[in-house]
Amino acid sequence: MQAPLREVSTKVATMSAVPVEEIARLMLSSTNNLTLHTGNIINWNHLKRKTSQNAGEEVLECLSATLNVWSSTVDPSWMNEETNNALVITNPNQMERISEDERSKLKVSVKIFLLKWDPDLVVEAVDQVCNELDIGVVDSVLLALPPLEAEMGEELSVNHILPMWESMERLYDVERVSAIGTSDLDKEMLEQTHGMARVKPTINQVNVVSCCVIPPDLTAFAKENDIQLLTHSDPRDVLPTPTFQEILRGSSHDDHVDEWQPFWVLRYTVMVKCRGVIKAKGYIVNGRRHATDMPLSVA
Amino acid sequence: MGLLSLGSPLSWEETKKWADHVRKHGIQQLINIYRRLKDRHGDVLKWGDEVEYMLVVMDEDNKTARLSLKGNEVLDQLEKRERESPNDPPTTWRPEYASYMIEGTPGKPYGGLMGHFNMVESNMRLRREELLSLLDQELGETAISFTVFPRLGSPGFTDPQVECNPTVNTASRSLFFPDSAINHHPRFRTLTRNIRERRGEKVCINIPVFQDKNTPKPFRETFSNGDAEATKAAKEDHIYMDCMGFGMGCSCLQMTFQACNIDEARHLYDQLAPLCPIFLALSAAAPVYRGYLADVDCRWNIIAGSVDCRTPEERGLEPLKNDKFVIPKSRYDSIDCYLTPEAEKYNDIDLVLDQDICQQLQDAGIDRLLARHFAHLFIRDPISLFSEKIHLNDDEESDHFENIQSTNWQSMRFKPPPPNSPIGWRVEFRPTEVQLTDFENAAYVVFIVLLTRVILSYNLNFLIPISKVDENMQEAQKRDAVRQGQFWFRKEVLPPNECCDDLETKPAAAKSYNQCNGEDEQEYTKMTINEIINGQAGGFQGLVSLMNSYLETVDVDVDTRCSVQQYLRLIQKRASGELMTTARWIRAFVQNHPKYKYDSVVTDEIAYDLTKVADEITKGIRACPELFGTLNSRTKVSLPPVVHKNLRKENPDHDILT
Repeated sequence: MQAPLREVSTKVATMSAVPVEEIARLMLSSTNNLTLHTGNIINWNHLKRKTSQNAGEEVLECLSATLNVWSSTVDPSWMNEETNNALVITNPNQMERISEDERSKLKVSVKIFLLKWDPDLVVEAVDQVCNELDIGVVDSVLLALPPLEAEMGEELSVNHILPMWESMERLYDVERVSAIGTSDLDKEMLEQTHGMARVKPTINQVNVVSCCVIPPDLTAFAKENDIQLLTHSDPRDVLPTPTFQEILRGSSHDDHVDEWQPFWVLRYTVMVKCRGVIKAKGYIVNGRRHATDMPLSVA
Repeated sequence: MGLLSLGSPLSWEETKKWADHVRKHGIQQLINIYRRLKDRHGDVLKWGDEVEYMLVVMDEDNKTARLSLKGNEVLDQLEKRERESPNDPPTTWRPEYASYMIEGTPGKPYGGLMGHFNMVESNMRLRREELLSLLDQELGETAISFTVFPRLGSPGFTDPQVECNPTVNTASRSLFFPDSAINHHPRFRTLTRNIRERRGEKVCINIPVFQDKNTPKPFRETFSNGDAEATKAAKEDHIYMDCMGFGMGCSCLQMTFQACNIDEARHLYDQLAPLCPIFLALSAAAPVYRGYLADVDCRWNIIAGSVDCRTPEERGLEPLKNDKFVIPKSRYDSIDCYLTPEAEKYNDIDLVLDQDICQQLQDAGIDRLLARHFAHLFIRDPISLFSEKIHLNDDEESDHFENIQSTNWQSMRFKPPPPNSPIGWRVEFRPTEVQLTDFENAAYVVFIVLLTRVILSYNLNFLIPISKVDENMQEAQKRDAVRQGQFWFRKEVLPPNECCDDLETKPAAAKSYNQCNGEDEQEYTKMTINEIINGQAGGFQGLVSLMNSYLETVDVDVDTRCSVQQYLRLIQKRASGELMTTARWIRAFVQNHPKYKYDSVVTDEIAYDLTKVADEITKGIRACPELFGTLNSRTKVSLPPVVHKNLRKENPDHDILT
């Protein structure tokens, strides 16, 4: 049975001359709930040296880099004492909080790549990004659904979508989010979701490879119902479980690293309104392990 | 184009007498503007483009294409329509130097939303349609955006045909370009005459002729008007041109954008300056002058020569006696200095400037770099002055400042706000040659404006010494520079990042970003246009790669993304040579014409056929896959409806095109 995180940190604090990578390893191996925040990656040059890179590759690189930096600079006192056994890893050099008077000039957009069918994760992810950026409201949240086949062996139906969408609606109700939308829904799914939603989606994302060949029925439906069709170039599976485990394996000699599963990935973008200038971009990823942390199956 | 005051223009002698007065008050007007507006901030992105068109009459029976001199009539009709329009007109029209030219711009600027990039082409199409609707196509009238009309200055090139000899052409004294081809607004003839009189002789432009199989060697023309000056001035193996019309009668494509404050304007001015030669080469569209194939593909040096008002003393041909300075460049040419402190170390050419003016500006609180920039522009005399506009209120008016500012025609222009206006600090990008179709023109415009967003988002740095930018400007104009040219370009354009950067390349990157010119480790190297735009294997990733990274991060609607993708592809393929530049296409057309005799001569018939085909391509009647493939955009006249609604809610005050 692994020692709870807080105990580890107390123990470590009393040890002298412990290599920092060892501290990192101990902390990682003592937790079951891990959140990684890359901070603002907008000036991470090695990402831009490649001629093209999709979100999957970007997430992989950023997470690895964040973990590496953390492992070599970790200070146990950074741990989040309040959260029960949850470890939040951030890159303090890259953190950029948004000040009060800056906020009105900025547009914060978020895309949640849900990897488990759990509506609570939507709220959790939005809360996390608000906390990290020190903001109260997110301007838009787009929801990408988990790949269905791995979980269910069924076809996507609006019944899968609605519970997740209800979380989005609740966020909208409490004014945590100003606009909510979907990702990669075809006309059929979009129409059904739109029909049954209380708060209608105002955005649906479409993969950029089809931006010049959008099916006319989708275009027509979007136009009639005031839905913006925006492009994205994200892969279907932005963080496959083996990839996540591989990233962790690099920073931990824990035998149980293959128990980890990614639960959600969030990408945020901060733009200066009306000037088209990107101010910040980052990823937050949450993963967990042990059966007790697995979500309830969708009924 | 420039200041269009109404009233009575002064003679050159009188203008010269007022030169110091104009400079003195111009500087005071600048100081007043600066003091009042230097802290202006928070301006949103607003931008616009300017497209110039030539009016042409095609005579199918006689196989001639002539430039139609009824530009002013057409402009009057366009302006009337604008005035009578019940709502804000989507297009605006302005006169240009030649009476066969008209300039069109959007009625209101575009804004800072991605959707605006999808409106440029539609607005350009609207302009072209409006213009064409006033022309009589039955009579062969049309409008084409040639950068240079192939038979400009050839016998009988105008409609109506006009006698052309120096005794009749009192403004230009040109052997080839009649005064009636100059816009009848007094400013333009005044400029023409004053430039010539100040210089003390006609302007003298000599452009190398293209040596084809049968081109005479040496290439020497005899001038039927038997002009002694011409015989002396014309260089062997060159095409000789002798007036302002040959330069300012060329068309171009310009973009202006508003920065959020003065520092951002200075920053963008500096960052775009090294890109001027790149875009000149990429947009090359001017390989034929006065009916001859030239050995250059661009208009730049021709225009530089066409308004070169420097006296022999200023050109260093005689010792300084009456004039104050030896000046290396014409008042139309590439910029001579950067504006930001970060770029100061790259200002490596001697800047000729008026020390008193420089000191006066600094005493007024303007920093040294900016003071030097304006003190350099103000070495020039005003070359046009109206009697009604001599004594001005320096607090309220800026005509004297604009007089000097607008007759320094440079590759970039840094534009202070006008007094008493909501307009902010702006930057103008001026080197691009105009293309035949709206798709192509939109592509170049969108590429540059989008690039400014990428420069600001990623803090890119393209700075290289000014002397190298000047070398690039000459390289860019050479025949086929887009495929064969080698251009100085910065090796490391990304800023150094302290943390999480790849540790292997970090030391090298940081070093090259920060260091001054060392002997063995230069910050810049030679690249081809293809490498600059599309990237090098294992080296610079290319401009398009950086732009795609930006496009993947921001919210873009599907139609805008489709259009922008097509625009980027056009530029990429022009850069790789897969698609022809307009210059290459024109050359190929001439050289493949059945009547072409391999002697570099573009006859009336060849020019007619070229014009006809260009007209059909422009109108979309004829495809031209060599020029722009089968690329097609999803351009729209307005923003997507949802965005439109939100915009009205969120930003009701922004006076932009929606």
